[in-house]
Amino acid sequence: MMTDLSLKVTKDIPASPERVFDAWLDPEMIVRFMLTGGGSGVKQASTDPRVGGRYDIIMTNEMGEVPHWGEYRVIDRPNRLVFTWNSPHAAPDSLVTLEFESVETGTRLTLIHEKFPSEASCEGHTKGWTAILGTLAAEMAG
Amino acid sequence: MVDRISDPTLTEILKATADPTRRRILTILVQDGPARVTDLAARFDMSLNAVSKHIKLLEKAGLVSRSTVWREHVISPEMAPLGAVDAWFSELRSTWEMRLERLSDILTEEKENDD
Repeated sequence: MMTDLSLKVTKDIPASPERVFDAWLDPEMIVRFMLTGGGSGVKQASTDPRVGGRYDIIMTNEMGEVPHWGEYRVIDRPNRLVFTWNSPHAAPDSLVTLEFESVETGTRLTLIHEKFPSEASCEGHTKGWTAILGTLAAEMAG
Repeated sequence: MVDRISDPTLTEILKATADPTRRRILTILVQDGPARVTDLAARFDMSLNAVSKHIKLLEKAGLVSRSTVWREHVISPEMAPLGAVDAWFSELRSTWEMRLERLSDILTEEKENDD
């Protein structure tokens, strides 16, 4: 019934790791692929691609504008990109990790979206609720 | 997607499970089964009143239920609400899948245009 709660998605993309990596930091590209679903769009995107730099993505859907924002934590072209992920409705400051692996057909992109696992800087309510849910999930599966 | 994210139930659940003591209480209840408030309190280095407050927050989020047996309150775990968290993650997963698909399409198109 419960699936794993640290979300992982893998996709092979027929382009070099450099091109796939750069797409994530390029506002013009972000506007084109960071959609949310049917009838959604991206109104505006801006990036400050350095560690500690901020990005903003204003998504639109039938409800209006939904701002997303975060901060780059790791920029290791073309291997790894890590940034925090916030939106007004979701639980704050989750972490998105992208790994770019060169494969014969292009790039194997792995995306992991999780709550901060155990960062000491992350106090109280942002701290590891996935741990309990993971425990419970295992319980229920058993 | 939007409905799910703004779902007050989800917010309550995430808040309720944000605290380590409350997570511990939930884990105990799942692993050992329903327990009396006094027995739960005995397992924590804090007052009965403090533990009771944590239980009330879990109750508010629908993660535990309370029944009275011989004037003792017995607390039971409720798993169903966690389905809201699961559903949220499922939607998040399909959203990311769609984005990666779109990115792949864009990069493939550009490659063809370059050729």
